[in-house]
Amino acid sequence: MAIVEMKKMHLLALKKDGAKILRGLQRLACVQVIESDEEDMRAFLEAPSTRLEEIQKTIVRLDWAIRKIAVFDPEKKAMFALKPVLDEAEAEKARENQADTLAVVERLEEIEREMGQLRSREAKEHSVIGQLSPWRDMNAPLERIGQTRYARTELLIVPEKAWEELKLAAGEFATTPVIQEVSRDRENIYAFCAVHRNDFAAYDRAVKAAGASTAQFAGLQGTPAMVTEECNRRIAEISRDREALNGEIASMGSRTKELKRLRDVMELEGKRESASAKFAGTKSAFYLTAWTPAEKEQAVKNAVEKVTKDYDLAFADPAEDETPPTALRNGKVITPFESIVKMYSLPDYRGLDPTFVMMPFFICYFGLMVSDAAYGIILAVLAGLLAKKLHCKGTVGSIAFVASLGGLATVFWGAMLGGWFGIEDAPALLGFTPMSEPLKMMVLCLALGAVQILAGMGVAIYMNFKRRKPLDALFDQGFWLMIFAGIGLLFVNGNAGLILMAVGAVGIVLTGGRHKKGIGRLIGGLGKLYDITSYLSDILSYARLFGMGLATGVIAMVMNNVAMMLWGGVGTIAAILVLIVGHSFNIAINALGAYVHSCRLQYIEFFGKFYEDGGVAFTPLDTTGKYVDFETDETTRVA
Amino acid sequence: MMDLFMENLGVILALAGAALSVLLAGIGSAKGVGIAGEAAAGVVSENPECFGQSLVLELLPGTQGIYGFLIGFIVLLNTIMGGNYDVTVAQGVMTFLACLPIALVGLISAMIQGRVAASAICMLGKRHDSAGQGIVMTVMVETYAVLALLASFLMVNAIFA
Repeated sequence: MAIVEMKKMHLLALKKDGAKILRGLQRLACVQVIESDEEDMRAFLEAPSTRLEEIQKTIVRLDWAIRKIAVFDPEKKAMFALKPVLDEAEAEKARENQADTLAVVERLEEIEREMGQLRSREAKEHSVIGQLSPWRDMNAPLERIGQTRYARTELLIVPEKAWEELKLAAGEFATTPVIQEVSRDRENIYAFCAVHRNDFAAYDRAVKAAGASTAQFAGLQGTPAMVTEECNRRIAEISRDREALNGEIASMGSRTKELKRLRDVMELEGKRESASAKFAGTKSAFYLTAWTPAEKEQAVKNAVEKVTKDYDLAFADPAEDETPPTALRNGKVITPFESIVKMYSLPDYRGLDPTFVMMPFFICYFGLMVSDAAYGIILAVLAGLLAKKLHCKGTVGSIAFVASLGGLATVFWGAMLGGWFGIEDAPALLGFTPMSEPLKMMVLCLALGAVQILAGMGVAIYMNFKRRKPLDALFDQGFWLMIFAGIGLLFVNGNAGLILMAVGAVGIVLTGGRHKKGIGRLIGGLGKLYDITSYLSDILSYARLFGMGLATGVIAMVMNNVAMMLWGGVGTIAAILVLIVGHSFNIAINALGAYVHSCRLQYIEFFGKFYEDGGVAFTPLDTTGKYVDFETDETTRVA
Repeated sequence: MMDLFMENLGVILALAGAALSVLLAGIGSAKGVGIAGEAAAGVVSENPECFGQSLVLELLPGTQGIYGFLIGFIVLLNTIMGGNYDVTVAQGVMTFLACLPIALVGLISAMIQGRVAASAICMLGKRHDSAGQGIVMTVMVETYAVLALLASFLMVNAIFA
C-alpha cells in the first residue's frame, strides 16, 4: 500500500556484454533506462542506431499483414482471454522463423499490388463498356469507321434539339448521306453517318452548327456488341483472379499466430534498442543510467553478474531535485483499484498512494448506487468469474474485480434498503426504503459523503504531520474541523457551538492567506473562509448516491409492472422475456453508472481534499507485447 | 366537453407533466446520443479497436431519457396507474411544476453531455488510453441531471404523500 521506493542506478560495462545484460534486465522488468543528465556524459551519447528504425518499419508491415489475415485465423479468439505467455524457446523459434514469416508479409504485399493492378484493369474495361453502350445496336465493325477513298464514316453524338436541323442540312448535300440513329438518351442522339467526299465541307459546317461531336474508338476490333462481350469476358477473368488472390489471403489466416509472435519479438527488440539509444558510450564500454525499485537492487546485481564480472554498478537515492517515476504496490485485493487511481493521475513520487483509503468508499458508494441485493448477487458472481478468468489483470480484469466487490456491497445495501429485483414492499433491514422515506435516505447519503470528506481531511492532516508541518495541519484542516464540530455542537449546546465555530472562522481568516504578503494576507484569509461553499457543494454532490439508487429501483419496478400486465396465457412468455431482458439492461446500465459516478466522487470530492497527483508512470524495460507476453523472471517464479 | 375537461383538470395537468418529462428528457437524450454516435462512427472507422470504449461514452448522455421516464412513471403510478383519478387541480398544477426540473434540465444537459461525449470520443481516437478521463469529463455534466431528477422526485413524492 504504498509508492515503491526508487533508486537511481548507474552501470558501467563492456559493450560486448551490452546486449546480453540488456536482455537480462528486460527479463527482470524492473529497470527504466533514462538519458543521463550529467553534463559530462552528454558528450558520450550514442548516435541513434538504424536498427531501431528498421524494427519499427518491420512492425508496421507486420501489423498491416496481421490486420489483413487475422479475420481468416481459424483459431477463434475467446471473448475475454489472457494474453499467452511465451517462454524463451518459443521466442527463439519465432526469431529463427523470421525469414519464413516475413515471406508471408512479402507475399501479402505482392498480392496487394496485384489487386491494385486488377482494379485499374477492371476500371478500364468498365469505362470502355460505358462508352460503347450507346452504340451497342450498331452492326458496323468499329475498325471500319473512318475515312475511305470516297467517303467518310463517323459516329456522331448530336444534341437532340439540333437533330432535325442536321438532317435538313444533310438533305441539301450533293450526294445524300447516310445518317442513321443508333440510340438516344435524354439529351443526345447517337447516330451513324456516312458522307461522300464531295460533301465534306458542307458536312463539317452542318456538324459544327449542330454542336455535335464524334465518338472515337481507335484500336477496337469488331462490332460494339462483340467488343462489349469481350470486355465482360475479361472482367469475369479479373474477378476470377481476384477470387484466387482472396483465397490465398484466406489460406494465410492460419499463420496469424506466427505473425503476431514475430511482431512482439520485434517489439521486444525495439524496446531494447530504444533503451540502448539512451546509453552513453565509447568504443568499448557503455554507461547506463536508470530508475529501479530499491528492493530489486540485488536482483539487478545478480542479472548483471550472470553475464560478466567486468562491470561497475552503483545505486543512489534520488536527489531532492530529481523526480523518480511512480510505481504503486498494494496487496492483492487492493491492486485492481489502482486502475481507478491511474485513470485520474498517478500520485507524486513523494506523495501518498490513495488506493488503500479510497477503496472502501468506492465499493460502498458503488453498492449504494446500484442498491438492489438481487442485482448485487448477479453482478458479484458474473464479475467475479470474469475476474478469476483474467486473474484480475489488465483493464478488463481489474474492472471486473472492482465490480465483483461492488456487487457484494450492493447485496449489503440492497438488503438494508429493501431492494430485491425492485419488488415493492420487500423487507428493509434499515426500516425504510428510498421510496417510502426519501428524506431519511437523503440524510443517509449526505452523511456518508460527510464521512468521506472528513476522511480526506484526515489524510491531509496525516500528510502534514508526516512532513513535519503540524501547523499547516491546524491551519488548513484543524480550523475547518472546528467549524464542523461547532455546527454539530449547535444542536447540543448552542453557545459552545457558536464559540467553537467563531474560533475556527477567525483562525481561517488569520492564517488562510499566510503565503501572501501585505493586504493580500487578509483577503486570502477571507477567500479561504469562502471555501465553506465548496464544502457544502461537495457534500451535496453525494445526493447522487440517492438519485442513482432511485433510478435502479424504479426501472426495476417498471419492468415488473410491464411483466405483470403481460402475465397470463401466451403473454407469460413475453412477460418472462421482459423480465430477463429488462433486468439485465438495468443491471448493465446502472453498474456502468455506479462505476463512473463512484469514480467521480473519488476524483473530485475526495481527492480534492488531499491528493497530490502529477506522478510519471514507471515504465520499465519489460517483455509485454501487443499480442503475447514473454516470460520474465517474475512469471517463471510464479509458475 | 368543457365540463369534462374542467372536471379532470387535475389529472390532465399531472399527465401533461409526466408526458413533458418523458418527452423533453427523451428528446435530449436522443439528440445527445446521436451527436456522440456520429463522432463514434467516425472514430471507429479509423480505429476499430475503440468500439467498446466509444460505446460506453456514447451511452452516457442516454441516462437523462431514463430519468425523465422514471419521473413520468412515478407520476403515473400515483395517478391513473394507481387508480387515482381524483387529483385536485392544485395537485395537478404542483405535479406539472414538479416535472419541470427533469424535463428541462434533462433536455439541455443531455444535448450538452452529448457534445462532451463526442469530444471525448475524438480524444479517444487520438489517444487510446484516455477513455477513463473522457468518461469522467462526460459524467461531470450528468451531475445536474441527477440533481434535477432528485428534485423532481422529492416534489412528486411530497405531493402524493
